[in-house]
Amino acid sequence: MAGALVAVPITAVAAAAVDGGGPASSAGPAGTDVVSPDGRLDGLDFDGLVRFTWADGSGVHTARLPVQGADGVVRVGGPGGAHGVEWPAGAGPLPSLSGKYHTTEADGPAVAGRPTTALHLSSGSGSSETLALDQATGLVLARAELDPGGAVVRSMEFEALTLRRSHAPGTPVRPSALPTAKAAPARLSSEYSEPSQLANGYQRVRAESVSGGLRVIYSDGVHGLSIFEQPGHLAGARGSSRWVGGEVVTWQAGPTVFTVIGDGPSTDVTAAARSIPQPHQQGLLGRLRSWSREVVDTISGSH
Amino acid sequence: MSGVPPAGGRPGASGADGHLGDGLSSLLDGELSSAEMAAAQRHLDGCSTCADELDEVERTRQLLRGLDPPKPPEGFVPGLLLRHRRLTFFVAAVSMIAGVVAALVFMLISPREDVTPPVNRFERIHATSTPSPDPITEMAPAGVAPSTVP
Repeated sequence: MAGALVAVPITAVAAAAVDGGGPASSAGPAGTDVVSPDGRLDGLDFDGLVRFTWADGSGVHTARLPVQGADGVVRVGGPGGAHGVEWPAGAGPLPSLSGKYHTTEADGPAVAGRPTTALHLSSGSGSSETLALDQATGLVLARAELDPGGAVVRSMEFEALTLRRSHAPGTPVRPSALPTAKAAPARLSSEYSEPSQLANGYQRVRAESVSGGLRVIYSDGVHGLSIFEQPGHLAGARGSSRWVGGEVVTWQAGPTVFTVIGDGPSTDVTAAARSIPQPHQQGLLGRLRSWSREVVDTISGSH
Repeated sequence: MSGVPPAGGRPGASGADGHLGDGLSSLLDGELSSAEMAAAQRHLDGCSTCADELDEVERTRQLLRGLDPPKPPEGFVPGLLLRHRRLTFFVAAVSMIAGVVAALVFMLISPREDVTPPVNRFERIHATSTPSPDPITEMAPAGVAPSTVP
């Protein structure tokens, strides 16, 4: 069983820790990982119970959520419904942590009865977080995000974890039944903006079409950030708000309504949103060109 | 018929010279009343000039009836059809172009739609489909926040 659950992204986390000058992993799970050729976890499933805590203006809240990992899909359930995501995600490698974070690594506390390696991440914004990685599998068993003042913003910790072998290593797993995102058009009209990188180390991972617009996904190696772009006029005022998963910023720029959602520190998300270049307001000719391109793309099936 | 001179050849009523004149055509065309016809017949009986003229007019008419109907010049009908076709095509093309131009103008100058970002849906999308080294923490907000459920 040892080492069988390590996923590619966690391997990247461990490697980044070394890149950042921290001591070498005491457990060294990455070198003994068993990962199937398509990158999915091979041979082991898990069930567990996770305690999720978050703080907002009304205080600190806690929820306990069942989690499950099977056949390369991680699912999280709870009152809000069950959600699943392929893991590791098929979007390619995430950005290296070393570009943004200073990382240190040490022996961590036991979580759900399992020994861990603690990975401490800090960035120039003053926020920091600590991840406890299962020494045998590399699974993140606990995580705490702290604001610059050291207060916990969000935390996650396994209270129980059961690993089981579901099939022999090397056995192909069945294809995931999760819905797949629709890729963005190869050529975007000037109403949209998808810079390859944003402030505070966010790098573009991929873009996809969503109802009524475009979503561009970014990552800094740990946190994700989504830009939702909708052509039109923002009904209502621009603004920012916090939700249980992070920060939301909405504003109008040129002919487009932007909504940025990030799960990183509030200051990072705001700075990244400010670094998005404003799309050009199209004249009649530009709109005609965009429309013609859309028609051609639709006819040629490149959408 | 005032235009038919009385029998006996008194000149006058129809032509200035007292002969039937244009009354001959009316007679041949059957346009005279029975009384007028009888008066004309009496005039013809006594007037060789009008009788000869009537014979002449009748012969001419018979001659004309025997002629072939006039034919249009060579290429007249195809030319007419071609012009009709061109006109029809022109009208159709102009109508179509006008329709397309109207649609384009409407599309291009129409004001932008108001957009209210569906923030809850966006939050759920972000939480459940953002590549992350820690998908459990990434997805947990969608699991705990009822407002994120579609």
